[in-house]
Amino acid sequence: MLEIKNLHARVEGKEILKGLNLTIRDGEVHVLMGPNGSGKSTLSHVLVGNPKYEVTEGSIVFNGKNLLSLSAEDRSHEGIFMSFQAPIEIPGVSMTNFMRAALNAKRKYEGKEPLSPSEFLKLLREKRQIVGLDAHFMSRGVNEGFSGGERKRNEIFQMAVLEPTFSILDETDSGLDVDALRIVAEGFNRLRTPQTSALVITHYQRMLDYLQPGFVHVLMDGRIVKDGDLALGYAIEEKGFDWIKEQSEA
Amino acid sequence: MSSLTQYLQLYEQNQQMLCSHAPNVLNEAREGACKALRAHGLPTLKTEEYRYFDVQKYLSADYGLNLGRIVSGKDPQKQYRCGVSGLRSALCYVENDVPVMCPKSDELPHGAHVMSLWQAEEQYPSLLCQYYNVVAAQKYDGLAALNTLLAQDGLLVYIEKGVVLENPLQIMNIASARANLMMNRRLLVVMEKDARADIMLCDHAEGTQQHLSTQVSEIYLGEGARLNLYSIEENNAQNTRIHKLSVKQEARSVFVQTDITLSAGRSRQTSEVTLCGEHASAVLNGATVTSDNQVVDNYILVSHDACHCQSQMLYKSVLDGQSIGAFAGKVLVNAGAQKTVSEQTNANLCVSSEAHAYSQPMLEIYADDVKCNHGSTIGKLDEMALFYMKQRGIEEAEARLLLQHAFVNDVLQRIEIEPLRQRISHMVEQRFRGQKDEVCKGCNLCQK
Repeated sequence: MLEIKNLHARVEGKEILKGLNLTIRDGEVHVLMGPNGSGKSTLSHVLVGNPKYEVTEGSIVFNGKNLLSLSAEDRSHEGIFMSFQAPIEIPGVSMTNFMRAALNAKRKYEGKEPLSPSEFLKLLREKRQIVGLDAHFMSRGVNEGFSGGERKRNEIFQMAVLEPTFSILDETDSGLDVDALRIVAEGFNRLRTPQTSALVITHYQRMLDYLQPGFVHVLMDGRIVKDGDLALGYAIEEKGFDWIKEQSEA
Repeated sequence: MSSLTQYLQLYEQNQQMLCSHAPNVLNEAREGACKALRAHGLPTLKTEEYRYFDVQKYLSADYGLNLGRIVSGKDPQKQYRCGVSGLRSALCYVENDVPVMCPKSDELPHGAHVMSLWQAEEQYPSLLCQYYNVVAAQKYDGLAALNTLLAQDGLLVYIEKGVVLENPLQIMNIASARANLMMNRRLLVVMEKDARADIMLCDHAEGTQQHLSTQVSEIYLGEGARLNLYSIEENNAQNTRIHKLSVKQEARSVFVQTDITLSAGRSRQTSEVTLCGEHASAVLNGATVTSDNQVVDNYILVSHDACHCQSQMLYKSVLDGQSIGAFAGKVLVNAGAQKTVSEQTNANLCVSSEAHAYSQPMLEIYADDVKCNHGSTIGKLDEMALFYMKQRGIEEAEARLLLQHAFVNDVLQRIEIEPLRQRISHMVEQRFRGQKDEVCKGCNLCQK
C-alpha cells in the first residue's frame, strides 16, 4: 500500500527526516515511537502534503501512485486521512457543512453523485455513534469550543465518514483520559478492515494494548533505527529510548 | 472647476425647475444647505472622516438630474424580483429617486403610513416640518447638505403610537436610468412611543451607466419604539453610493441596524446614532464583501447622551482583489451618560495580497462610571485551517469560500428574520462563488 524510500524532508530550512524507509501493506497497523523531535509528526505532515514541509530527496509510492506529485486534496481523495495531533478550530463553519463539503468532494473525485440530504444526515448519525458524539456537535463550528477529548473523538468521527484506506493517527491518544482513550481506540478498531492500514504515533502502552499492532518502529534523528513487534513497544514503555540509542550508535 | 462649484451652478441654473417639482418643505431647506456648502465645502481626503473616500474624485463625473421627475411607467413588481421567499413584506419602489410605488393601505396595519414626501406634505404637513432635515443637519456633513440642496422627493414612514408592523416594509431603491444620473433620495422614519417595525432598505443598480446616489435617512424613535433596519447593497462597479443615516433615540427605544454590502462600486455609509433617552439601545452590525477595485467606507458615530444606554457594533469585511475597505467607529460618551455599556468590534479579512483594510476604532469618554471596550483586527485566511480542510479532501476554492463565509457568519446570524437570514446567507455564498442567484434568473437587476 505505502512504500517510503530514503525520505529526506525539511521544515523552515531545517532537515528533520534524513533517509527514512518504511513499507506498510494492506491491513497492517504500524506504530511509530520515538523521542520528541525525532521527526514523527514531520513524517505524518509530509505524507498528507502539508506545504510547510519540503521533501528534498526520496520517494513515496501509495497504491502504485507517486504520492509526492499529488495535492493534499487528492491524497485525501486517494484514501489518506490524518487524525491531527492538535485538531484545528474553524469557527463559523458548521461540522455538518464541513463534512458535506469533504464527503461530496471525495464522491466527485470517485465520479459519484452527492448524497441526498436525508442520506447524508443518516450517515452522520450512524458514524457519530461510533465515537459517541452528540447530535448538537454537528451544528457547532468545527472543533469550536470542543474539549480536548471531543476534538480527538471528532477526528475519528471524520475518519469514519470518509472511510480512508490509510490512516495516520498523530498522537491521537495524547491528552485523553482513560475513558476517552478507550472510546477513541475502540472507535478506530471498529473501522479496521483487512484492506485498511494505519500508521499510529503514540507514546503510550495503553494505546498498544487496544490496537495490538503487528509492527513497531523506533524513529530517532530522522531515521528508523529499530523495527520490531508489540514486544518492542512494551520494552520502550519499560526502559525508555536510551538503550536503543546506545545500540544504534554502537 | 471643483465638484462643489459644478453642483452649485447646477442648482442655481435649475433652481426654478427643481423647486417646482418638489414639496415646499424640501424647498425651504435648500437655502440653508446652500449657505452651509458655500461656507464649509465638500469633504476632501484631508477631512478626518473621509480619509479613504475620495469625494472630489467620485463626484467629478458629469451626472444629470431627473429634474422633471420622469418615470418609466413600468410596473416595478413585474420587472424586478426582489421579494424574499417565505417572507410577506409590504413593498415600496423608488425608481432612481422617484417613489413610484408605496404599499396599499390594506397592506399596512391601521396607524402605519408609508408615502412619498409629496403626499406627506398634504397629509402630515406639521410632522414633516417638525422632522425633515433636523437630525441630519445637526452636525454639518457636506454630502448630506448636497443631498438637501438637490433632493426633490423621498419617503415618509410614520408609525403611530403603539402600532406594530407585523410584516417588514421593503424599500427597493433601483437605479435604472439609461444615462449617467445623480439620484438624491430621502427617507424619513418617525416612530412614536412603543411602535415597532422592520424595514429592509435595498439598493440595486441596473445597466451599465454611471450612477451616483446620495441618500439621507432620518430616523426618530419615540419612547420604547423598536426598529430593525436591514440595509442591503448590491450595486455594480459603475455605481457610487453615499448614504447618511441619522438616528435619534428616546428612552428605552431600540435600534438595530444590519448593513450588508454585497457588491458596490464605491460606497460610503455614515451612521450617526444619538441615544437621548435613558435605557435606549443601539446595535449596529455590518458585513461587507468587496473585490476588484471596489471601495467601501463605513463611518459610525454613536453618541451616548443619557444614562443606562447600551450600544454594540460588530462590523466584518472580506476584501479581495485590489479593493479597499475602511471602517471608523466612534463611541462618544458624553458627560452625565453614566452606566453606559458599549462594545465595538471590527474585523477584516484580506484574502488577496493587494486588498487594503483600514480600521479605526475610537472611544471618547466624559463620564466616569461606564463600561466600554473596542477591538479591531486585520488578518488573512488561516493557513492551518485551509490545510486542515484540504486534508479532508475539500478543494482549495471551496475551502476558501467556507472560511470567508464563516468569517461574516456571526453578523448574518444576528439577522432576526429567519427567511431573510437564509436569503442573505445564500446571497453572500453566491457572491463568494461569483455566481448569480437562481432566484434572480430572468431579472437583470444587479447583473454584474
